[in-house]
Amino acid sequence: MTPKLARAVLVALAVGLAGCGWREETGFVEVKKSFASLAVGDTLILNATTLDFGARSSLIIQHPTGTGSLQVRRGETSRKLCEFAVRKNRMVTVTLASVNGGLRCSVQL
Amino acid sequence: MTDLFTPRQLSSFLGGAICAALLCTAMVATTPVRAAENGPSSPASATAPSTPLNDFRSQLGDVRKSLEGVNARIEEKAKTIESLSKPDAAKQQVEELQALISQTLGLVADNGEIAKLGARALGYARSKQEQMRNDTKFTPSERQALQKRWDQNVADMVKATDDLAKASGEFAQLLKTVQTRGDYAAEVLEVENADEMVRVVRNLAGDVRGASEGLKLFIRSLTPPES
Repeated sequence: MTPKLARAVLVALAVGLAGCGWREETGFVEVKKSFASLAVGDTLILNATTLDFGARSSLIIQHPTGTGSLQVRRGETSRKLCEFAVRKNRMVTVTLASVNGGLRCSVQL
Repeated sequence: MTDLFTPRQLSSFLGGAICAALLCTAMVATTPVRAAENGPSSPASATAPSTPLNDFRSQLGDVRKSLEGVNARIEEKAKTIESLSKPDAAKQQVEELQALISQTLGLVADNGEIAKLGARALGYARSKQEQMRNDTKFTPSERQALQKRWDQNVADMVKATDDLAKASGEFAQLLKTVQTRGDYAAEVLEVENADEMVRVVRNLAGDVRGASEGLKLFIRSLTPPES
């Protein structure tokens, strides 16, 4: 094996191994709600994740780092409530409140 | 580092970590035994069919193993931070601690694999409960016995998933505490850097003044005496 070829094999191996150990960076979003239930037919969506509170008032969602977007969907239409940054190994708390029949979102980084 | 974690914060933090881990461990140790009575250690487990209950139990076993290891590392890290006096070193340790807690929180998050399996297992147990209620195949006494066991199983499963949610909440609180302490360390570091900058600027001003005096003397030496 020529030194050039050996080097190429080593580089490919190193890249391959690095690829095996690759993990997506994530943070966490804590979604809290201060009201009993959503309006009938409304669904809360965090990026692509549907939030099902059940009987609970808060949820902890692991989320890839970047921008998180909380939306409320009714039928085919969805409305963005707020956007926030999700940082590596950190928690961002999003509190939802019902104000004058609508939903309001406050973010604490 | 006394400025970063007050003794009260540290003890509540350590207490919280231990409590959360114990909560998970206790949950794993008790409930799934009823959830699926043939565990992986029993001979029957090799032939046990793959059901949502068995999947849930097996995943919980993995979580328990992870928690045992991670919890010891979290405690160790928190103690190290306590003994640190330099903000930059503390900041790095806090970041490592955040990574450890995140690793654990990822296991018990509401969109994590465990929570999903838990929901699936609970759905399965409820469907079996319903099936036994509507059963016509077994004798009344057999049906009643099976119903009773599935009722108990559903109750235990609900408790297990609630405990999991509580553990998740506890770890979330820990992460928030640690990240706030990390932010504080970063602020301390920044203000110390700013103080250092003031010292550098002061020294520079002194040097400039000194150079200016030297220059004045030099200019004076160049000026002809008669002017």
